[in-house]
Amino acid sequence: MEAVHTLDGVPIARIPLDGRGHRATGWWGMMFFIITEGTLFAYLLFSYFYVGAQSPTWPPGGPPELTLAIVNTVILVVSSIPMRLGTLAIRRASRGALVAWAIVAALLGVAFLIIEATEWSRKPFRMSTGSYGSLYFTVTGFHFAHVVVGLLLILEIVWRALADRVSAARPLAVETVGAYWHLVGLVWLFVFFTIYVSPYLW
Amino acid sequence: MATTVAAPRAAGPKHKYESGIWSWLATTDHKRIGQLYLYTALAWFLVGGIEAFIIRLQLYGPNGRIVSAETYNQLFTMHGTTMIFMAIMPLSAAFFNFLVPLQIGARDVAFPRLNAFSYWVFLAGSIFMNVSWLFHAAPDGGWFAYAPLNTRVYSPGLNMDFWVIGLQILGLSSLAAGFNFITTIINMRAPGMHFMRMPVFTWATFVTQFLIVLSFPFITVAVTFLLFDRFFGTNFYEIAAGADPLLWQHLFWLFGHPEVYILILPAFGLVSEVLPTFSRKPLFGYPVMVYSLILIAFLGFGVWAHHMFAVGMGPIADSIFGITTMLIAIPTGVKIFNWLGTMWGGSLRFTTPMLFAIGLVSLFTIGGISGVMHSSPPSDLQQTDSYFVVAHFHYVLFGGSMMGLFAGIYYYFPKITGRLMSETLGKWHFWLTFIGMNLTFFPMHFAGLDGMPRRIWQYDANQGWDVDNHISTIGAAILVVATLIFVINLVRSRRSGARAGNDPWGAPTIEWSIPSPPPAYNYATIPTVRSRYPMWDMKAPELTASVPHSPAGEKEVTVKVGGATAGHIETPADTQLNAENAHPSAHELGIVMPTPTIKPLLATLGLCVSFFGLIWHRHVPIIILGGVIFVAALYAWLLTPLEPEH
Amino acid sequence: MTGHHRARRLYHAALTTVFALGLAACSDVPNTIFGAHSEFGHAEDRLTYLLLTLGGLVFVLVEGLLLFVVLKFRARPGNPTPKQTHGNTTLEVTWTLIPALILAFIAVPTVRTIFQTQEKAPADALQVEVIGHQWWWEFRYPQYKVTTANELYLPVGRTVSFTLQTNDVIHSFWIPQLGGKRDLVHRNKPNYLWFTPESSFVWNGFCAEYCGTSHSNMRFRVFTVPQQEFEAYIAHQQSGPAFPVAQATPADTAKGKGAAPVAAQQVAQTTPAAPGPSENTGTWPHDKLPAWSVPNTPLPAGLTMTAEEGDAARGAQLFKASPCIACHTIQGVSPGTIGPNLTHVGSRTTIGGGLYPNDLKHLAMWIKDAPMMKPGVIMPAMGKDAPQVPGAPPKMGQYTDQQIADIAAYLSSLK
Repeated sequence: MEAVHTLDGVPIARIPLDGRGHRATGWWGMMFFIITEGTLFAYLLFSYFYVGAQSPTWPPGGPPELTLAIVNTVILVVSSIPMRLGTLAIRRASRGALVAWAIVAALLGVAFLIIEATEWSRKPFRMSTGSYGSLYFTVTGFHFAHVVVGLLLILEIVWRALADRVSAARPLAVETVGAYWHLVGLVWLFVFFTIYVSPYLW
Repeated sequence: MATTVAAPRAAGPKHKYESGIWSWLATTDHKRIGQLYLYTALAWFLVGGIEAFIIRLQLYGPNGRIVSAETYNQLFTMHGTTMIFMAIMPLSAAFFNFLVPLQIGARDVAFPRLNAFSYWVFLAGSIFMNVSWLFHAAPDGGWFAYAPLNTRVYSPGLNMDFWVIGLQILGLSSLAAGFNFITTIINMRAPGMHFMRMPVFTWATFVTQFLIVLSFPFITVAVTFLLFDRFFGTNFYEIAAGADPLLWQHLFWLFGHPEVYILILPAFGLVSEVLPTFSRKPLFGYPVMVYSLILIAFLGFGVWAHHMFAVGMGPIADSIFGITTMLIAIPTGVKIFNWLGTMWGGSLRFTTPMLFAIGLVSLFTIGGISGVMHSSPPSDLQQTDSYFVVAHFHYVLFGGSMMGLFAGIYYYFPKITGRLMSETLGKWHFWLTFIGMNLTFFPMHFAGLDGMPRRIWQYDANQGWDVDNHISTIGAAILVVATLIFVINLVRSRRSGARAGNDPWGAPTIEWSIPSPPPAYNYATIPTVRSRYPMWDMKAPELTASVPHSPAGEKEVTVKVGGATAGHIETPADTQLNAENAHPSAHELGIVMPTPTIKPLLATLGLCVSFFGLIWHRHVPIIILGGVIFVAALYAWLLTPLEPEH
Repeated sequence: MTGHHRARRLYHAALTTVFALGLAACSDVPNTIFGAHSEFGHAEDRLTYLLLTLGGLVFVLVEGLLLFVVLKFRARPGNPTPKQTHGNTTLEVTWTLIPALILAFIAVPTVRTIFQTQEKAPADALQVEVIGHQWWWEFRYPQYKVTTANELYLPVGRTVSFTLQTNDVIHSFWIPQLGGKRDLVHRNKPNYLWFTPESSFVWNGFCAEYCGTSHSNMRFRVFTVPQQEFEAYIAHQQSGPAFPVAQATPADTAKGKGAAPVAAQQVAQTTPAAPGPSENTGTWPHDKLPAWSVPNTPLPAGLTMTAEEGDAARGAQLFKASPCIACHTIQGVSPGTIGPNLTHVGSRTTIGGGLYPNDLKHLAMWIKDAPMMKPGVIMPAMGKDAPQVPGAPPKMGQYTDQQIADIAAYLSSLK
């Protein structure tokens, strides 16, 4: 028999491990993870501007070609929309819609990665060429890695949705992955501005 | 349903992780993790102390011959790195872990498994860094490892490889702990535990974690660049490829100055707990103490370049950073005066924790004054990189941080172990530390003002530095004796100290309401808090008459899940507990606790394998193997729920 | 001069006396930052005195208060409950404002001094280029086309403007008695520092930024001399190498005495009776070196030198054909620029970055096995039976002790 204890006549029920605020602990955790990652990128971009300000010519080979980067920016920013729609869908308990939207977002993410890799291969410099090359590939490479992690997380969401492990009552996983995906898009805007736009304003 | 049944002790299914070595390897209990941090950090404190003592022996007289120049450079680099990243920070982390959930009335931290992961990563990083001694290749670039000396060209050996990877691992640990504790404090406070009712140590933790989350990414970026430079041929710091050597300094000090406050604020928090208890008075000016913590942290991000006055930043930058540095003295001074205000008119009991707390107030003041001297750039040009600076930061870090942490150890040891530490040995420890500390570091002021540069392996005779260095080394020997006494006290008291009871000191905060050591679930029922000093409300209401309380009839904070509505704190029955089973287990009370798991440890091992692959001839298959172990452990961890499913 | 200024000067004079006496009372302090000998040093000192005075006041106030509280308010039986206070706005505002006021008193002179000391140096200043190397100092006088190492001659009363650069890692240039330090950060973007030496003497200089293995062995000497002696020094340094000269090089008196510390007098004996700062060399008389500027570094155990007297003429021939020429310049003899310029090496008082006195014995041992003499040095061992230090560059010469003594005699003759 399961014993039920009481204290002052009140059963000591499940006293929460997961916090008492209005938001779930996991949500806060993701928020501060996002803040940490955002800070990391902010400091990477700080380094870019610092090295640029100390260099006589920056970027050494002239401002970068914009076409692919603009296409990529549009793709990644737009991919936040299906991700958001997926989150709304699970709140309506519409698992099918979630799966569909998540796959759309993931496909856009994959397109981003392919275009990014294409652009890398066209650059005349490498990571070891000079300060600019080191910064360019480190900053975009870090972001690339974040997109890859985001894609894996989306796949996990899709898998969970298919395995019936997310629901309107338990949307937290989808919401946090959505927040992460928005971060990846937002960070890209800053990266895009720094690496592609700022040389034209220099 | 509402029947109280004394369930048989063995009713619960005994998990294999509940006893023996596995109970430590797989623990997710913040109190156990706190103890792991405590003992690991103390071990590294001893290692760092031995390194320091060898340094002092080498410098006893002119042209010392105890160690070679290479070894000496490794010793001071590792002494700094060890004390900062493996002793003081994890000692603070021990208190974050052990205390914060207790002080805010929570079951555990927000992410118990991430918490375990933080500890294992810290352990791995600290061992990794020290393994270098076995290869006679300990890091030798100084704890701030300036570029370009840290690059492959000027440091071709394994030494700085160990440093750069080790620091990256340690940084990961701090970052993971950072947002864990912020989430814990924001989201897991007990009903009624408003922000302005939190114990000041919890406030110090809260502010410190923000400093960590915002400043550690700087060192992550700086170290990542260096890692790429050393292993993948990038050119962030290679001056031959046109890099700017000051990039490292800016990134490092943007981290490094907030780091100083990361090291000192937790000690401030501990002292702010100890002084009211032993003065039998509430903390003087609680709101100002909180605001000054926040202000110090905020200003701490705007002063980094005062470490760089000699690099030639120009008069405007020198002036700005000089003045911001002076500003930071104001909130710091306020803290000192408020501590004095706390003691003023009190009824002071000079227990060992109180002595260490007073020690902090007196010694940190000296470090603070010499800190203001550094804020004036022209004057600083004569002080920086001399022994004057060495004296300054040891007054801050030993006289400040370590004194505060010792106060915390003596104060909370009864809560952690259920036993009191010996007061006799404790007082020997304090007085020898106080005297030894001043003998060691005060003469360094004179050595510095007399022109002795820092980080020198040997100095010549007839420079006027001999007497200062003799005294410093004698002082260091006294510190060695003091520390031995501390270790003896710790070991003996842990085994056979006097039983402490719930509240041996007559303290005001809620962690003293529960048994010592606390049961796994901390509070059988989550307390509701009505003032800053709930224990005094009950035990000595006359002490809290002047402190703001909940107005009568204030609506209780709603508990989202669960039915713990008992609007008071458990009566602190000072029962003598003979065994940890003397209070009912979580299982008997029906409290669901996080499942123990070794997955965080496995994930850490994966990281270690990867990093060893990197340093060991960049062995790609090993790097990949480690990565696979890490990802697999992480994935398995994320897939298993935190608590047992019902 | 106004009364206000007089009062300030009096105040500073009084403070200088107090601090100088206070420090001098402990021991002889040749490298103290107090009582500096340049206007730059004075400006820094004034601020330091101000800071020490105010800091001292705060120290006495806070520690006094703490002591009072600890003694007065100790718990006494029968009075367990003290009067409860939890704050006092007036008090807290006061102890916020007073420190702010004190800091304002520091900030104003600080900013003024920053701008004063970082003005552009006068156009007619003596230009000196300082180039840091792991682990020695290269000094160039571009106006006179003179290059030397580890010893710096400056004229008293003339402003000297330093251009500071590094050849490798970051170093820091510091002569405590002449003023605060400045880092050598870049290869192509120099840092600047200027001051005017006020009195004639010998000062110690140090590298103050950790720069690798032999950071502690990167020292230098500064000789501030009257203007006409400085001119003589420069004229001499501009001339070619002194060899061949009269080879009156008495044998090393310390021969075979092992690692006994070489006292100042011994150095004076081992060095040929150098003339005072005379017309011909302008160098500081080696027998008038103060004790603190004569290195006492013990010789490494296990390094021996058996030859007695060297022959400078033979040494000159050996040198010309030696690997030495790849790294060292001797004007008209060798072109190397990796190590210090040796054209007038015999006129210097120290070798090895200020680590050893410049006498025949130390010079010979240095040539025989520099890595044993100074950890991390990139100069390889030259001696036939010199032990190979692990990690040091491979031995480059197979010279006998006699041959090394000859080379040392030759270099020593390059006054």
